[in-house]
Amino acid sequence: MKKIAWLLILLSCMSFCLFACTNSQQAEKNTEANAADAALEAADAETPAANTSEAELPFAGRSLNVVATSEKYSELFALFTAETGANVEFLSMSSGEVLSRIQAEGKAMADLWFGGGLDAFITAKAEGILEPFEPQGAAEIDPKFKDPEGYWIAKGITVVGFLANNQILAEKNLPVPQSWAELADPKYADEVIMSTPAVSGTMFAAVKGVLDLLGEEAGWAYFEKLDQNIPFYGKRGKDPQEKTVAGEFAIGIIPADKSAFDAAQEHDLTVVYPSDGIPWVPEGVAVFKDAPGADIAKAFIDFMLRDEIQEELARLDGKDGHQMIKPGIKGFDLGLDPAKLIAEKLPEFGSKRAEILERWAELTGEE
Amino acid sequence: MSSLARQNRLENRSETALVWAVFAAVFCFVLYPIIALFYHSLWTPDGPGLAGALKILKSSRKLLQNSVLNGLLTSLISSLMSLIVGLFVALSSPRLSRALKLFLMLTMISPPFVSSLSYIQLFGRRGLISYRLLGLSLNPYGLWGVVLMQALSYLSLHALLISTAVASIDPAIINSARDLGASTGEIVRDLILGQLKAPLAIVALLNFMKSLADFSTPTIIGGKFSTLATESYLNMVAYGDIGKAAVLNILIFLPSILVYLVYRKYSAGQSRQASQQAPVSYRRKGLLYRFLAAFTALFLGALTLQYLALILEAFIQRSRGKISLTLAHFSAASTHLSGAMLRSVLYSLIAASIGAALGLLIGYVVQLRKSRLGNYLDLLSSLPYVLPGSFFGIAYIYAFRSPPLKLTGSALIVILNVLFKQLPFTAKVGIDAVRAIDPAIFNSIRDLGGSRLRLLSDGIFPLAKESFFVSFANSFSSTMTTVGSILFLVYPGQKLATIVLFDLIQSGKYSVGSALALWIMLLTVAVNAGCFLLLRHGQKSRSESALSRAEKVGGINYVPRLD
Repeated sequence: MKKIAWLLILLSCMSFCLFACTNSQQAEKNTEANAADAALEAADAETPAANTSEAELPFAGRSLNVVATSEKYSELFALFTAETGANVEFLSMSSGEVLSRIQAEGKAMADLWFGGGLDAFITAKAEGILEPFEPQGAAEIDPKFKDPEGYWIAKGITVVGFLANNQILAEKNLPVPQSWAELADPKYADEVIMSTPAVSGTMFAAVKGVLDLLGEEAGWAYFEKLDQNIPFYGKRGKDPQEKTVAGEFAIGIIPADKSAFDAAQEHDLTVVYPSDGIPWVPEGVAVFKDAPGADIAKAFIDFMLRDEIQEELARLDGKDGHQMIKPGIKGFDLGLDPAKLIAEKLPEFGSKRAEILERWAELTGEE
Repeated sequence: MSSLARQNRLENRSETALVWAVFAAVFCFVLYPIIALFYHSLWTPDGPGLAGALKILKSSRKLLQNSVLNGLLTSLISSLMSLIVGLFVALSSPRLSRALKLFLMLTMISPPFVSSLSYIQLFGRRGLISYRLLGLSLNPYGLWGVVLMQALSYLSLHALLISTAVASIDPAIINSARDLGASTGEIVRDLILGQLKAPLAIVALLNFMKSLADFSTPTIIGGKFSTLATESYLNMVAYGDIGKAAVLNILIFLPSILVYLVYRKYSAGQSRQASQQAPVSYRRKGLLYRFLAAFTALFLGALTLQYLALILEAFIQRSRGKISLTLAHFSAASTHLSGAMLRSVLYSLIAASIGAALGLLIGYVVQLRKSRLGNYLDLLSSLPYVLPGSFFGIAYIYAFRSPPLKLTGSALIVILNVLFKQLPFTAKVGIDAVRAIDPAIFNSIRDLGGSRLRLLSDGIFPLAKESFFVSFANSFSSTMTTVGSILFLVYPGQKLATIVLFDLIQSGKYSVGSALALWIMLLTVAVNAGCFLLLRHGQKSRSESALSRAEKVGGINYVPRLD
């Protein structure tokens, strides 16, 4: 017993070292970066107009608190820190949770809201928890990517596609579906998976997009038909992609980004942009009202809109150039045809959300 | 003389202050948040109000049915499984029994979510075992998948509880029955089962309450099947409707508290202590023994598979159909952590040590300052047991969002939350510890003119070191692996390891998630092992076996925790 106890402690010490190692490697990288900075500063110091280090790092010693949709933005935040000195703390949280917690706590838990479906941002604007802001260069951005009163701006768009598991389809002797119309064909019975539109901005976009594509009544009739092919709706946004990759289902409705194409290459899958129309949704960015770091949050949005940062963002998000809000930003070439994007009634993402979700629940009989 | 008297008076006063502080703390951080949740969701415009709550209640009848059905089935199956494994552990040879107990203790520590995911990998429609090995295409999604996964994940702790209960039966009775020629089967049927009623009731109760509060298993493998807990969780994170989430949590709370109060009334005053006697040696043959052995092998095999899947996932990299070993997931996990692990350990250490001390104080108040208030303190401190994790989280937001007790956004609210979430366990350990101390010690302290404060400083604290470590180790483990109650309390810059794990799993990064889960487990086990060594070091002379001390550290001799 004693030996085992010691062994366990030893093991955990070893694992600690392992982690400390990887951490210290990063720390080294960081110190190298810092050293480079220091060298730069030293060089600056020799020039007469030297004592401007405060101007160089306007937010040194302050923090920018962010709620983000994912952990993957840490590199982007590091760039911002290097440039402004602001220490960025972030927490990933779904848009629904952001709204719930603000509702309960009576105030926002952060300065900046980075990413999440448009519907939540429209709701938040209506609830008066956002602060309007006109970022530098906002004029060149297409009006559909920003709130007319400046309460939110998009950081890019999510587009909806299908992920098909070639192996499973081959086993069942079925072709890869190319359109929404084909997806609802009874031959795909029990082989399609999507998540409840309430849990995922992408899934909500899929529903709203198809409704806008086919018109309200034909749209709902379509989902009634599609429902026959879907055994259940996932309760997590990632369910469709994961379960298709694992072969649990033949076709998943997914956000079509680089990670989907990568998974497709690795696991013998096909990513499809539906030929009859691609649903899409802007991912919002906003400053919270009365946030202590509102000035930093605004500076971050200006920073985010710079071309080179947009390109970095496209890389982190795995987006096609056509998914970015500024024209001419270089992204991955994922073969997205912008002409296929559905002409959506964007304001209804907010105003009709509750109604759509309610009708959805009735239709699908989720219990 | 007068200075001594003055000092005594001072000490008595500080003792009184301390006792009131304990009451105040338990009131503030257990009862008040519960009241706040009820008040804000039923009586103020913040929530749906009474009428709204009734509407939610009506529309949730099916969910309530699902939850209760799920709870009952899980309770039945898991209790049966725990009984089988627990009996087998108690009846098997000392060496095997020790090995099994160690295995169960290790599998008690399990970070959330991970097991449900490995279930799909193994038994899904195209799972490794169900499809690739057996060629079946089963549908694993639904009530039964949830029931089986819950039953399996509650098994370790409860099987240990049962085996300890069997070991505490007076060996004289069993030995004499055996000497009179009773077979092992007859002994189990006629003697042991009768003695296991009380511990089985605890196990069944815990299974029921845990299952009712569990949102993650049905979210991952429930398919079309939803429960109150999943719906409450979805209302919080997807619909942005905290009022409805709160009401649904109240709906979970009501059947739980009802069952708990019935149980409490029925089992009032019962308390078991593991026996220190020499173990009984059973005849290890016969139909029953073989039956137990076979099923134990089956259940523990399933549990082993789960953990193997987790370990493999953490070390394996798949690329274009090729599989290779890697440590990359661990370094990826460490980049995601950015201080969260350290924070987790720190918070857990603080919560566990303060919690353990508070437990002893409660033990003192309940046992030595016998008053009606003491009874209430006992009941109050066991309440968090009955509360679903997210109930306790939302309740803390409602209670501490505005002055005078404005704590939201602070690290303190997270620490307080995990500390008081574990209170049922720490208080129980504290009460049992004080009860176990020879009253003569307290009498002599008083007879020698010591103040009431001295009962604590010279009596309880030095003599209950062991219990302190038990509480400490158990609270530490629970806090390191908990997520439900703190999910909604954490702010940017306050991430804890389990929150990071939760995000990794939610965003589909299972390999990195598995690596992190392994690391959390290893750290937790190491701290438990450390506590065990400390205890062993401190008490070489005691006759207790090493394992029974380890069991105490694992908290198995007491009513276990509820995550």
